[in-house]
Amino acid sequence: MNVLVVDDSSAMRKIIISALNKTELRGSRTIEAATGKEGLDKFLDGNFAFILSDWNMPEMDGLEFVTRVRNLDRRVKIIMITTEGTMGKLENALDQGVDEYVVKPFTPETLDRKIKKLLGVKPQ
Amino acid sequence: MNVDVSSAKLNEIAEKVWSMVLGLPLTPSKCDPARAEASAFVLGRVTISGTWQGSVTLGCSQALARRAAAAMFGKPPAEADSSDIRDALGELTNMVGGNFKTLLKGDCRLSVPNVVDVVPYAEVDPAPVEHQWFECEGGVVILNVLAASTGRSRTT
Repeated sequence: MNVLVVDDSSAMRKIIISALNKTELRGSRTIEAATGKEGLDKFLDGNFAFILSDWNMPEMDGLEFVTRVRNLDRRVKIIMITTEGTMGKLENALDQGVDEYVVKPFTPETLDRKIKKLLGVKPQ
Repeated sequence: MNVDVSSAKLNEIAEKVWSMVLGLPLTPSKCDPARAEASAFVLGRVTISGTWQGSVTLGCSQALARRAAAAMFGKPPAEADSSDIRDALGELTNMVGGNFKTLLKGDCRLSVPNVVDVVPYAEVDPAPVEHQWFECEGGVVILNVLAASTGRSRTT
């Protein structure tokens, strides 16, 4: 399974990938992108089952990135990883095509719970 | 424009970020400028623009910043280089600033973090009246929220 991790912070990409290795997606092939535009280019080149994207990025923010991905693909599962905890904004993100969100800081257990929910795996 | 966010809430944000991301305890402590003046700091800053304008800074004594980077990237402190330290403090500042932003009324945007490697204490804590000091493994962390309109620290 291919997973695309989109975040302008290299530190956050490392944190996300480290957390992914403790979730249901462990062993997946992870591809990194540092901007929404780079994420879109890599998405077009690959066959991704999951995208984990930051919200607050320069040039193309996470919402615009998600909107563009959704215009191309309705099936890929998208998790927004953000410090944005305002319910109105999070609901807007869900309306734009985000499947789940994780508020930073987060634990691998929280991320795993969201991933299992999207995969339809019952929590143990 | 001032912002009504309590010191307790700021402490809670910083402690949560530090413990969840690094697995290190952050303990609120009393301001000790004499001790801090003997240290060099790594300083992270994010600016907030919109209905509230200002910045959130996170100053971390150098040795602690190295340990934080090591904890974040799962490597021994001796192997954490300056790039790791900048990345780590930038992300910690981004998370603290982002969580602070969610407490603000109205629409605000957070900048990408900026990190400066070696700064003296005076630049970390420019208005030493309103700030949060923390201890972690023998090092100091100073959180400051500065309103742009006055150049002064947050009032609670």
